[in-house]
Amino acid sequence: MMLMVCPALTGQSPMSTYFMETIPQVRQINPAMMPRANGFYTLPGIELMVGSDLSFSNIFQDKGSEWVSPLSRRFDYDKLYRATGKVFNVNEQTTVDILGFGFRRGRDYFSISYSIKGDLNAGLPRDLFKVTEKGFADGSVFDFSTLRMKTQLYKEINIGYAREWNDKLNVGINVKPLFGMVAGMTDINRLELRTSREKYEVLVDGSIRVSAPVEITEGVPGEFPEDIEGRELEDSEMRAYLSGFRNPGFAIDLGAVYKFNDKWHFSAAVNNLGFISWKSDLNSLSFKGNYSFEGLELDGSNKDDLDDALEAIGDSLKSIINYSTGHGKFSTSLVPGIWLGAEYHLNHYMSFGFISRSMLQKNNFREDLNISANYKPYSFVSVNVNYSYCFNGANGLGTALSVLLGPLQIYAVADYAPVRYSNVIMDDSEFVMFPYQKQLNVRAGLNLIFGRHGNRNNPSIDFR
Amino acid sequence: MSNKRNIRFRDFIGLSLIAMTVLYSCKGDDIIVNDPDDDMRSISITGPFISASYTLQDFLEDLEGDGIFSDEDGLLYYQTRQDVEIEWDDLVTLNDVNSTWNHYIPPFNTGSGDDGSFEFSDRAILSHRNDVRYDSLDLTAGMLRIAIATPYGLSGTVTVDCPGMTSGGEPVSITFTVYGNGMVSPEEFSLPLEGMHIDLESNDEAPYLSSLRVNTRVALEGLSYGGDLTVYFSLSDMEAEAAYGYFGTQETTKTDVELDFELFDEIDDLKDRVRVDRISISIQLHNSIGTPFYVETRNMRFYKDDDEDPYEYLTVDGSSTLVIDNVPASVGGEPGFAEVVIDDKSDSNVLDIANGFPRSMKLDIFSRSNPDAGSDPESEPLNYKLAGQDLVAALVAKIPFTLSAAGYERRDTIEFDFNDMIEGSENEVESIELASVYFDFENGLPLSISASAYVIDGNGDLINYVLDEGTSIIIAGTAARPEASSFKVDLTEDQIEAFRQREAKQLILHYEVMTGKNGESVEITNKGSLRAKISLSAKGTIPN
Repeated sequence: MMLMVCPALTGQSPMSTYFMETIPQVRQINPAMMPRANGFYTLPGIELMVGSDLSFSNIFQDKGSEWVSPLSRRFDYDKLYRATGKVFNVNEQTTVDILGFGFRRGRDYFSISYSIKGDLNAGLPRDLFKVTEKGFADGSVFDFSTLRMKTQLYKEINIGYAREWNDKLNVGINVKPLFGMVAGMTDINRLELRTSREKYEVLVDGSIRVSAPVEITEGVPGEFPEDIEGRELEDSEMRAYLSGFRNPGFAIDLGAVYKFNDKWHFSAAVNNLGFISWKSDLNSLSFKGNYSFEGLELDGSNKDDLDDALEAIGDSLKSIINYSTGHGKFSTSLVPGIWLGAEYHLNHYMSFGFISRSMLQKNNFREDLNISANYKPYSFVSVNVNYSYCFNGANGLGTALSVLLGPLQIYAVADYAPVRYSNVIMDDSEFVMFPYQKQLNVRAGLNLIFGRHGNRNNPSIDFR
Repeated sequence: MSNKRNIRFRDFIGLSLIAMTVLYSCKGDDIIVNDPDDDMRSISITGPFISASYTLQDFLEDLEGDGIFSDEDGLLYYQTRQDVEIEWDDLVTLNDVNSTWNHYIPPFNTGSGDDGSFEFSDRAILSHRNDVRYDSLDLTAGMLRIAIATPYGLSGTVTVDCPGMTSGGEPVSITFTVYGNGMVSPEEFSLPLEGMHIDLESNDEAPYLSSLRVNTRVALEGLSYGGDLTVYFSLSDMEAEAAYGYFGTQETTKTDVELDFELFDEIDDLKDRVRVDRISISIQLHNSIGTPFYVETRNMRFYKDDDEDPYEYLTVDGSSTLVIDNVPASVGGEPGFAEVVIDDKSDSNVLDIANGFPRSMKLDIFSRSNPDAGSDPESEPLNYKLAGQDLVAALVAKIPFTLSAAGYERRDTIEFDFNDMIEGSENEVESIELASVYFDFENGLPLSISASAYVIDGNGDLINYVLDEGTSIIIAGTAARPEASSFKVDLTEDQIEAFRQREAKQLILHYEVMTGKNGESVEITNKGSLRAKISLSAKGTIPN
């Protein structure tokens, strides 16, 4: 269940992996990348990516000798809003690699893997912070229309193929059948709160869709459903959720590597072009309307009981807003990523790389730049040290390490590694915090590597 | 050599990378998050609180218990009513009857062929007055007793019949057995009269002498030397369920009948500033007895507070007596009704009395039956009275809310301890810079209210006004054209601090009410309405 609440640099692996050709999982980013090994089995591994537009240092601001919270008059909200943009995004993604294998055959490389992925993307409107900035002042308009939530849990089969098209060009493709397990998403067209001394007005227009074991008991048409609750799954249903192949989807990754000369290699990839069509256990709740609160309404009908007036507020919200339920199909897209890479080979064991990663997501476009030093002193070990910078986001060091113990490869990769920490003293409590941390991408796992020296045209250093 | 140099270079690069990582991975300075109280952000909160809309009709149901009603035109009025039963139990009075009748039986000898049979007839008188006639009675209680005594030596039977007294259509009859030794069996005949119907006789010569005929038949044997047959006849403890006849001209007086004006008791402080423009006092007679009555109310007097002496007597056309000369008899179960009304249009002092806001009213009620009684019994109406039937006088005072008021002032004190109130929330209270409560009214009532409010300390010294003097709260309007008014109550940071420092103890509300906009006479109807919107606004720092 933890996977269900994970968020979102959806489907994108750490940038530290990109130039780690000793790790077979490099193919998941750029399918034209061929692992150095002649063959491999992937054993279970895990990838966790968490990201936020805001770090501790955005929510608490450094004012020299001390830091202040958003409740302080010295807090600079413009600075906060520059960090959030219109939407304050919180993302999480978890991938559990179950099993896979791949092998080289001549100029071709084949691979297949099976994994379970979950992601969560939440967008919180910037106007939420206006509450602490200005309160509910007369004439205020709070636009929460950018509020959104998308989560999905699905199974992915990755069938990869790469070919050395010629001496300079590698091309590759990953074909990925997807099978959705559960999903939920909001689609908010309008969500506004207008405050004045005379009235509070709520304007809503949106819907929530889920594909999950949820039961909705409808009540009066147009009013909020009588009951919404999770359905207890029987064993057979649970098995169907875990192992079934319903809610089909499809995605592809495309990639190419161009070897300009011995020193310079350029690469590009577009991955996660795809979607999942949700068809089972569907429920949706749409809502549209304006609700205006002009005070507790007292009249002759409720003059003896104030509780009636309070209940009337809830009843109004149920009846004035027009609700409708449905069971229509819907689809969710993956978050496509565009990767551009350039690698300069200082020599056969040392290279320097540059990566640009763009992720295309509504209200959440992200651009990361990464420079790296890739060091492969021996055929059984390789190291990457890198620095990443995300526009309006995080920046920090990353690293990757791969070690071979016989055929067993142990690898660990991290972007935006939490390397700076401080003790935070607040309200008589003290705790450790990574104050500038906005993002963390980690990946770790095991592989069985065969033919670790790779092809003869590109041997490892200790093989020479 | 080249390989070794390469390896050293590799190691150097590798170690350098690791060192960079370690060096970068350092602990930063401690972060101290500090938001001192005087550094908290100032924000505003505003919003609606209450939107109330009432008409007086909404409250009428609750006010009925207080005597507030509306008429068909919606005009509100205060009505107080007191029903008084005028006892007329004595209208039909059935006195006990104890009669002894002696009848001479002459000498005879049945052994020689003489006849020993004789018949006698007597009358038991039931009229208790010489102008009352009973034609028939249906009794619910009473006892009949008959006994006889015969001359000695005779034997046989003596039968006593009451043909006018029947039960289930059968007349009452008793036969006594007489023995030669003077014994009579039974010694005494007694009969409960519950359910008994009695038809009484009267005649032109004695029209008011209603009587029950009693016949005695004697059948004796033996030798009589002459002597009296004595019949003892009694009727006692009779109660009638129904009485028919003519009940004469009887009188009764009920004194000190009282009617309370509870509303005036509650609004005692209004009386000097409010003038009612209309009033009516009516005496309604509901007669369920089959007899007409003449009724007078006498000495209608009004009291203030608990005074023993009245402050005013009602006079109408110069008299303190009101006459209802004929309250019709009930006919066919339909009570007779008569009413006398005194209102502000009457030639009376009733309006002055009303504006004295009396606490209570007292009067005496005199009544007389058959007011049109003449000398000719033939012309007398047929009266009847059934059990439970009464003559009821309803005293009804009705004061329409057509009134005027000007300069009515009221002062209320609300006790509180400001420091107690905010105990535990001092930080929140201190953070308030300005709190305002806005009031917006649309008044469809013909009343204007202006007010002021201020806070005083334990010594009664003024701390601060929270509502300036003469603030117009509502302005008189009509249901069709409500008048709008708005005002707000501000509470500033300085005021709050003053309340704390000087330990505010009382909130004094002082307001002035008038009808219309200048105290003119108005009518208050159930359509009178009041819409009120209360909204709040506060500005202050976020409590730390």
